[in-house]
Amino acid sequence: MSNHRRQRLATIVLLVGLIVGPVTVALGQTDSAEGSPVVTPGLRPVITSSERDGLLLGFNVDLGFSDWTTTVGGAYGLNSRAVRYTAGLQYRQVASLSYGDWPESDVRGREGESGIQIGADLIALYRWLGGRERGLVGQAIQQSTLSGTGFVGELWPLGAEDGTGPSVRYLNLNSTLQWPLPFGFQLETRGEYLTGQPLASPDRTFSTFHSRTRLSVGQTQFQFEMGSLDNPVALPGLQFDLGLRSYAERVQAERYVLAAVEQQHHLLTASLFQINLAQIFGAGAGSLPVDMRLLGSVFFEGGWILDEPVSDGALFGWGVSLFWPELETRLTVGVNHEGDPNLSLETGVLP
Amino acid sequence: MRTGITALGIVGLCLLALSASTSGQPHSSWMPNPRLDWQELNAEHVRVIYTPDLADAAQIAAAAAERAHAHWEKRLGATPPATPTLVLTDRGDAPRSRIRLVPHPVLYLDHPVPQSSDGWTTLHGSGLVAQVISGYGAIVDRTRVGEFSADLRAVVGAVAAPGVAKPLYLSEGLTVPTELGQATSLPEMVTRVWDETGEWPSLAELSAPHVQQNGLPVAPTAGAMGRAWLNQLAEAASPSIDAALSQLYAERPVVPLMADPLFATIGRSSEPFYRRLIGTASQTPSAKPETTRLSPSGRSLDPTWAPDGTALVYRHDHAERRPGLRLATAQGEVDRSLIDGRVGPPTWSRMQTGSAQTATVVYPRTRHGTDGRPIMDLVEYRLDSGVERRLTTDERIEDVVAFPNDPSRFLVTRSEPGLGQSLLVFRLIRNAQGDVRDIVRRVLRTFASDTRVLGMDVAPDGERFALSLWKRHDGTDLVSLDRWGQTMTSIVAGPSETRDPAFSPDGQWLLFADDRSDVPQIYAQNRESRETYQVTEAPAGAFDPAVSPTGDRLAFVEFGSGGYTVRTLSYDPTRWPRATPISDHEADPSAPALTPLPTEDVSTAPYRAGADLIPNYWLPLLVPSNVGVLTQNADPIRQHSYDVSLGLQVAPLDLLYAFSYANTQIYPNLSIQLRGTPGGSAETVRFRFPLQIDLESRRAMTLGWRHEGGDNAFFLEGHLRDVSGIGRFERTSRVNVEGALIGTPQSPSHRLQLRWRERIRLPVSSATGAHHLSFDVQTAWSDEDQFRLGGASGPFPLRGAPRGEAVGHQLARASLAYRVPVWAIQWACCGATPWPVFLDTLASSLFVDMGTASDTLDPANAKLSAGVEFQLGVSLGYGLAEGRLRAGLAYRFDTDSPELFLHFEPRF
Repeated sequence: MSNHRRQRLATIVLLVGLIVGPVTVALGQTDSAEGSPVVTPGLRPVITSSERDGLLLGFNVDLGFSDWTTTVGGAYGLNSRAVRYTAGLQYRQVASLSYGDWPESDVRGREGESGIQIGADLIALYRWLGGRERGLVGQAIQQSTLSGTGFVGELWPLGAEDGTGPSVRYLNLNSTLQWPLPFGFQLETRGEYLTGQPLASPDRTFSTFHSRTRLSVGQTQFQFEMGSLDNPVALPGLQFDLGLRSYAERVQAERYVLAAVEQQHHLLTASLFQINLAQIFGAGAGSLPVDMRLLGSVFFEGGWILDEPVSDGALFGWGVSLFWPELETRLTVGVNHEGDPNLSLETGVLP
Repeated sequence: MRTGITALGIVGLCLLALSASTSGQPHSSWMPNPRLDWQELNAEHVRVIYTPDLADAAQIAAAAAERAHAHWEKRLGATPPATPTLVLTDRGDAPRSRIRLVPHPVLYLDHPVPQSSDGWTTLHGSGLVAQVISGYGAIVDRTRVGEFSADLRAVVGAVAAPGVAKPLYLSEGLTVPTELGQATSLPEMVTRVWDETGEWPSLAELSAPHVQQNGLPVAPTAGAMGRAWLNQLAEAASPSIDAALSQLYAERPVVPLMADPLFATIGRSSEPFYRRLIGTASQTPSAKPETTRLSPSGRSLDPTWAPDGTALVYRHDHAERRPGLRLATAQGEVDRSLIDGRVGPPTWSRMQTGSAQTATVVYPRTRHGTDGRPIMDLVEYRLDSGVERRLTTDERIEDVVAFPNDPSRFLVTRSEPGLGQSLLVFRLIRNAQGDVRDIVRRVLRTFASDTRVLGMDVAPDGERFALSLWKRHDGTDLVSLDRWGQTMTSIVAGPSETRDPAFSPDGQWLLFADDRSDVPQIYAQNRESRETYQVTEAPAGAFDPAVSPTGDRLAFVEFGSGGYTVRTLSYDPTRWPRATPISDHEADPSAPALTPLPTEDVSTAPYRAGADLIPNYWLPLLVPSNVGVLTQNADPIRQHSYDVSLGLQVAPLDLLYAFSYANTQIYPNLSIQLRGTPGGSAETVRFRFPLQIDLESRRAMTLGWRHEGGDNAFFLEGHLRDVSGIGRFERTSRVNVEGALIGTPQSPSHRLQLRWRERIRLPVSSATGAHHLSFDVQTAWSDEDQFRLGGASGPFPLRGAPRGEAVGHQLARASLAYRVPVWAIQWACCGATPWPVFLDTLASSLFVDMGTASDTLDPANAKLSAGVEFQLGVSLGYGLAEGRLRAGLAYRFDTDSPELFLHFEPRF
């Protein structure tokens, strides 16, 4: 997708988010405040974009019944005029089963997948099975997550794949670990390993490994990231997208290391308006202030692509960003080491 | 020496002239808000500028200033060079004052009526009168014309720098810690008069009878001020006094006369006190109980014992160090910093975690809210983990004492804004890990603004409390209150000031500080017989008693040459002599009440800055190729400020001018700069948007236009400063970003610059202050301009490399430094000369610099240097120019020879 188009999409997303976000937040908070012990519905907006569908707008609804939670989602692609859907069932956050045609995939370089997915939170499973949390094991468990996902189905096709994507099966393992350190430091590590096979040639596998370590103290965070993939089946699009903020073009690689330091400050909080819930839900509901925060940050990033040298193989850039957390939107002005400036507006950026 | 100082002065003024190209003065956090509805009141010898809610205070201040004028004219034989201006504002909950002398004498008083809610009568108790009298005196004192300056003025005339060639006694003015913006204190001025005239000001002259003062006899400036005062005393005191004091000083390492005890006694009977002092000095010291000093010099207060009696914690403050809590062992072997920051009186407690008990220290800690007002949170510090946890938020906790018999309960005083003060019992509810889940609060009593609890303690059985209660017009007495807050009975009453109650562990004795014999001492009252005994015999004062839980040592605070120090002595009631009964002191019959000025003598009107902005001094401007003059001016609340430089360039002969103007009255703030140079002219217009200004964070954005050399540049700047963390590892972050669009809209060029600086206070300190680690990262990019890296100064420094060592459209540099304060010089010179110089602290730093500049950045081409640098804080020309003199040695790793550098870095 061209940059121009991406920016236009981002602008639409921004505007839609301004309208939809506060309303859904208000609905969610009201539901939560008045929720019954049996049914706890949760409503989340879906605002995303894909090459296949353009801008996708929709909702995800969670409905909890005792130990079971069902998730139903639907989104409409403005360009493709296609409806995407997902439906799933989860037991106590221990295990889940879902089926859908949905704009998300664990496979790098892929925007969506269609098929059946089964997942398990291994730590929740450990607890459910009566595992004890004592000593170092207990500490580690309390601060970490470990989950696995299996999928069988079809990946969404890329532009060069003539409308049909490859049928694959894969297993994905995710782990995060958080360590509070002395003097306010916080260490967070995240690892992800995926291995899969095309159903057409099940004797050959592709795999990706990605790891990120983040050390933060106050408003500053240092991040070290590395990735490596093995693609003997030549699965199209299987690449890491490095997401460097100081480069206008997307930098892709099969093996890389990156390091970044970012300093973030709260700049201001603007009170946009108050939603008078009493008018919607009756007296006693009160009002809901809708604030919008603005954060500013400076960042420096650098790294090496180890498989395919770009320029001299080294990447370096710096810049400043403005970030609206409520809108998940970030405006960045960056400069890379070759002196190329980059002005970008990104959406879907999580704090 | 004088030549060198003059040279430094010229250097400073040259740099000052160069600063004419900078914007108007920033709107400091302590400055009045220029956008308020200001009024002014004009009397014969003072102008008072105030906000309408302080109209009553303005009347009082004007009357006090007229009295101050008469007093200081008589005592110092001088009047201010121009009518002083008092600016009354109310920005915070803590009284603060500050003076400015150039271009106009101004005394700023913030929150001048801290405990008042009912106007005129309350103001006597607020300290406003004392602040006006001392501040006015400071203006008179510091603008007096000395002999040398008088001659100089006769030669040079009143046109050239009349506002500058006057200062005397610069050192006190600049050594007073500026964190709280303290102006000269009343005791300092009293001391000054005694120093110069050998006479004590009378109560009538000061209009500050002690019964109307509400503060403890302490001040944050005691240490620094005392030292300066001693030096003056040695030079100026009469021979007999000097001999007596010298003998006393030789015999005991304390000098029993300091400003703050004077403050406590001067209003009552200064001359008897003085005679008693000299008498004491002449006597051979009698055998006294041996005391052990636990704390360093400075201001140590509020010692509190650990539950096992092996250690104690106390508050410590010093002019050259950061305030905080210190921990000392009972025998004094160990004394170390525990907590940094502005904290209130601490109390020891303990908490149950599982089967173990953990010692904790609980205390109020001051922070500043987003509106700049201080908030005193209750904070708990766990000694086993070193973790500090906030227990309350948005409450103003003033004092806290743990119940000896119940570690979950605390007696607390809380300030209730606009109402007064509450006395409460807090009960902490903890979880299994010991963390506080909730606090149950029970209000025992609420006091109006005419009554305050200044000190308190809880009886060992938790059934009664002893309070030191200040009441307007009655002074401070001790009372007893039952645990339910119902029954209040008097323990010690009378004309003397009775403070700091402390129960003995067995509950048999109540100790307290009392100034019945002029000098505050510690006394003990037997709770059964009601007999009172004198415990200490401190030459200059003893306060804050605390008996160890083991019942064998008494900790207290003694005032002496080192300020307030914590000492211990053996706790032995059998050795205490019976105390003399409290007698009524002779009231000063000549102290008239302060009344408002007659209405015909004053006029009120909305504030107008006009006449303040007329230039009233011109300073010479001397740089190698230019000569000229410059002036700066601003009205007292800085609605408008400007500076003007006029001169000639020598070769080729041409006119040189620079003008800048800033207006902070409008939003966004406007500043305009015009510069005429031989090569052309330059104009800059800025609109500055102050987004947030408080003591911990600042945000501002600037939009501007600059025209220079035929190019137009539109620029956007962001400025940010944050202080985060508390105590050790306090971080100060500063970020500046500038983006500019240069040239025509059809073919613009762009520029982006970023600077990020961090300063981290390390948990390492030496006698002169804490060590700091700092780093500074700078990047710049332009598609047209080129950036020059190198030099010890300049926009992109790299020490050890000449300026222009690397040039390119892109630049990146970083610097890492470990800074150690070496020597608190604090030396002032030449107060009677036109160019006074003040040398502040000398610091050294080890540094590593790295940088590169080229069209394509390549870390492999980075230049690297390392070395050592010394920085000396220097103030020149009466505080007009301040900065750092930097000298050092830098070694570049790609060359063989190290390079020396010397540079003056102004800070305007």
